[in-house]
Amino acid sequence: MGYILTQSAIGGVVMGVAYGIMAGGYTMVWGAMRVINFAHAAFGVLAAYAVFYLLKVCGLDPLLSLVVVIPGLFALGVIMQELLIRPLANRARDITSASVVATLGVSILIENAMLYSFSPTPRFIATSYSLKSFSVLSLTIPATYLIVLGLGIISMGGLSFFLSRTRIGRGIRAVWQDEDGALLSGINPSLVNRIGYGIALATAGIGGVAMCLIQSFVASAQLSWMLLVWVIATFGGIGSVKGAVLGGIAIGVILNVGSVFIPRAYVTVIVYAIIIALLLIRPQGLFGNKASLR
Amino acid sequence: MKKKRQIALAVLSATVLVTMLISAGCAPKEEIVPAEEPLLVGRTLPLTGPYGETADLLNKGAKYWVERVNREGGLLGRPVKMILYDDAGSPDKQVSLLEKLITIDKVDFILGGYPTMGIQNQSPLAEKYGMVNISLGGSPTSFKEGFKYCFGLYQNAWGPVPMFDWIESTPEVRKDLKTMAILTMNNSIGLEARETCREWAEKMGIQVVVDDRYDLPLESADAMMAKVKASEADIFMSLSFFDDGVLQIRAAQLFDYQPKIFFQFIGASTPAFVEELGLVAEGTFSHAMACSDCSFPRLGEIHAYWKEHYDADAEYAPVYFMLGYLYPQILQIGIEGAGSYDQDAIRDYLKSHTITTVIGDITFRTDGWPNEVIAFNPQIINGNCVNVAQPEYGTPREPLYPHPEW
Amino acid sequence: MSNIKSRLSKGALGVAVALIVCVPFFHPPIYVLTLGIAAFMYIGLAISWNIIGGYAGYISLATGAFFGIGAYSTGYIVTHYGYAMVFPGIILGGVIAGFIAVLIGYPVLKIKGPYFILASGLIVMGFRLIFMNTGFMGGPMGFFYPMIPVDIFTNRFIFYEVMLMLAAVIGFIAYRVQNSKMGIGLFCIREDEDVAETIRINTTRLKIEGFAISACLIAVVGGAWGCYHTHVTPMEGFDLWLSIMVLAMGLLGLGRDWRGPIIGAIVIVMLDQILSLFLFAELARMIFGLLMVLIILFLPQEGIIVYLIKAWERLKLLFLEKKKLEHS
Repeated sequence: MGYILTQSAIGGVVMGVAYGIMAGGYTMVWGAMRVINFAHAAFGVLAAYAVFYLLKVCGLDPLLSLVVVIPGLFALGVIMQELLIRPLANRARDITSASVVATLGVSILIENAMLYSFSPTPRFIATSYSLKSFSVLSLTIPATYLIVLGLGIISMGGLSFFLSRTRIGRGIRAVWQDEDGALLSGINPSLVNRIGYGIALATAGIGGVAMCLIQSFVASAQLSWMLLVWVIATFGGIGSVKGAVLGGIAIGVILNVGSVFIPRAYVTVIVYAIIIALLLIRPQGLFGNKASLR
Repeated sequence: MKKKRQIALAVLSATVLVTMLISAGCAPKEEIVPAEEPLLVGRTLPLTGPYGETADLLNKGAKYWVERVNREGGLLGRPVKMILYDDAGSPDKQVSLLEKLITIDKVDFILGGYPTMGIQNQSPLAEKYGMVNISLGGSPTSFKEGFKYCFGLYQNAWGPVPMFDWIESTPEVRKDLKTMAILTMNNSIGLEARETCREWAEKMGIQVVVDDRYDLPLESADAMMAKVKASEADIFMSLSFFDDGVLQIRAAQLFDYQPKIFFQFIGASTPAFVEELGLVAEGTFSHAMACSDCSFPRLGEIHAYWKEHYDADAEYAPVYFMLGYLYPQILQIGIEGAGSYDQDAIRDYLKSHTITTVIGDITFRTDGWPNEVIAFNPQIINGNCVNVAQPEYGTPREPLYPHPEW
Repeated sequence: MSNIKSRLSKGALGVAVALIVCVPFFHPPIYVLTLGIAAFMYIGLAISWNIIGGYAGYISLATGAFFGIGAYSTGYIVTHYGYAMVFPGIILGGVIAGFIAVLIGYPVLKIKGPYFILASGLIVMGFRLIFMNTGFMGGPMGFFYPMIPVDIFTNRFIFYEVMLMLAAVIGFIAYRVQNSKMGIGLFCIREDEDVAETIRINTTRLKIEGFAISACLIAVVGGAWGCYHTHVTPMEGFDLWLSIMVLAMGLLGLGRDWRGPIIGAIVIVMLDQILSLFLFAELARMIFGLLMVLIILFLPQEGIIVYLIKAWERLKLLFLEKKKLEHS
């Protein structure tokens, strides 16, 4: 029993970190711009397909494909911000509600474009190290787990650092906390928003790379990934990167360890119920602050 | 104000009406068909998606049938043309595309869907339109509804039976196997085979230590494999399709779980399985509803065709290629036997005669199932999926036991 | 002048409606009836959705959950007691759905705005997971409604008229709600819920009532669909995609009028069916996704009916002005 619990928990942590990477970018946009990007995970799946084809056609290792994925998704983020988010913010009465529906539409668009281009066959990434693992005590730690943990630390650590130590990052947080004050201090909100969105989608891409290393994927997975990303971000707290990672780990462990005892489907339903309760009692999540909600 | 509303409503109703009439106007007109016009056979298959590997072989087999039938003079003199749509395994598409085949493409005949869920989704529609619907059948569920036009050949519950039969009757193997782990996909196919596994385990005094289900598509087998590894079960029953099966094998390799018997339900009999896994595939038991090395009529030509067109090194055509040929063959026998293109005549002929096919003689009952239980559990030995332990069919061969190290 | 005009347009309307009802009598190709059945079914769903989505502004993704409840409840009755009991079965489906709507609605409707949309989506997913994993009514394999012993054309004929009638009844109910005290209360909630509360409107009760009525009607349509489709599985019965489509239809006609969603439903159903069948389904859905984005970006807040009427007014004014200029 000890073995099963520990091994499941490890799997849960790693899965949670992979989701957490995606949740980090998502929650940043949610907090900073009040935009709920329901297409966030779809971009992650897109990155996973990029990894797959780069591996298949050029033999490029998934980690090296980050060189393509990060700038590519950053660019897509800027484009999405300019074409969709900014016009939406100017016209909509309530940007958050409008963004849910609009980005839902975008996610459907992306999913079906991917379905048409790449077909609904499930894909997995098989590299030379996919089947390597390390034995620690009696536990098995696959090499890919360590890589995902590394990606998580680097990307989320980087994101945190960016938000708190760099000028633009602080600008994003300033705009979020006090828009007028930020304007007065000479921060350019549209530049800040563009970069913020680009970074958010870039981290979605990193998340996608992490995900494809530990599980199979297909275009229609974007919805199930997104639901979990949303659940984790809601749990972790609006705008909190730390909350996203910790929330990811928590939810991952609950799902994996819970499924040792009861069928996974039921654990998922329980998690949904917890989130609904959370939305009623503490909608800003564990690490969010209430002011950010309005 | 009311007047404006009336106008808006009138415009709206007119739009609806006009659209309907335009679609009605675009209907293909009835024509007198000259004798050289091809007979249309329609079907949908999940060529893309999680059932693609086996569906692709079914398609190849059916295309061979079309070629062959046309070469030999057609069905009662008329050539055959097949219309195939890719339903990607989606229930919506399976139903709407079949309806399109029947009502818009106006096919003369249909072939049954795939896999079991597709058959279940399409059977009511075929029944409503009164069209003979021949498929692998898969689950008795829809057949219990009293559908008259549906024909099935293989029930998922028969899946692992020959293998269990062999275990039970081989004492040195049976005493070696004490525990069983079952991972099953959460659908008709997996669940019905799982029932069989549990029944046989109870019968043989084998303890089922892991019994988990998962929804398709399976993303990761790691969590389930932790349990299976901890149990160190002797028998590992992977009631899965191709992709999830491969994921589970990889997880077993990764976590160093070594079963003595490994059964992978669907997909292990396809050439792609051995291609994908190489030596790791060695020793995998799978299922088949056809005997490759038997000597039924026309079977030799099927093997020859496969060797010529697809893989010169293969000893036999894959089972699913044979089945791809089989279903339209049964339709052909029905048409030729009844001497007519009429669905009812074909149906009645098939239910009142013993027919000779590439998998042997079949006698359909009134409920659409055959009297004969045709089920095999071949094993991958030396890279080939071959029949084992069933001496009454073809060449008897000893199964590979225990399962080799990954 | 206006009297004749209004009588003419009433007449035109009447003729149009009569023609639509009589389409099956002209023995059109079957796929015309199939298309009609889909259209009327979605019209009914969209109008029902609008009671909570358009009137109260609570944009719900829970449509699929109530649809499935209807399909399963009616199915239970019909498989155990036969088609003689189909009407009580459908009503039972509506009652159960209404009951569940009250139960789930009480907490979930307290969640505001965008989070309500997402939480309501969880309801559909939850039902699907539960039905996929318990053995109830066949589990993941689903169950079959018994076959109605008529030929296919008569079958489609019957369901064409049934769905049409259902859509009409639902439209009537929505019309009554819209013009009642409840309707006005819901509109106030949509305008500004906090203000509504301060003027002593019992928002909680109204929201739950609206949600429950909507759920009932959706479940009734679900039950009818079950009889039509005859094969119900958790995948098809509890479908998030259905919720999304109905949401888009409602948004297209978003407003305080029961007729708005009709246009939304027709546009989207036509698009989906025709593109899916004659080109490919992915393209239909890509266009659908794009449409959702465009709706949110460009469609006016008051809904398409009022927008169309205003546009028509403006066109007429332009025309009149032109005539004046020509005369002078």
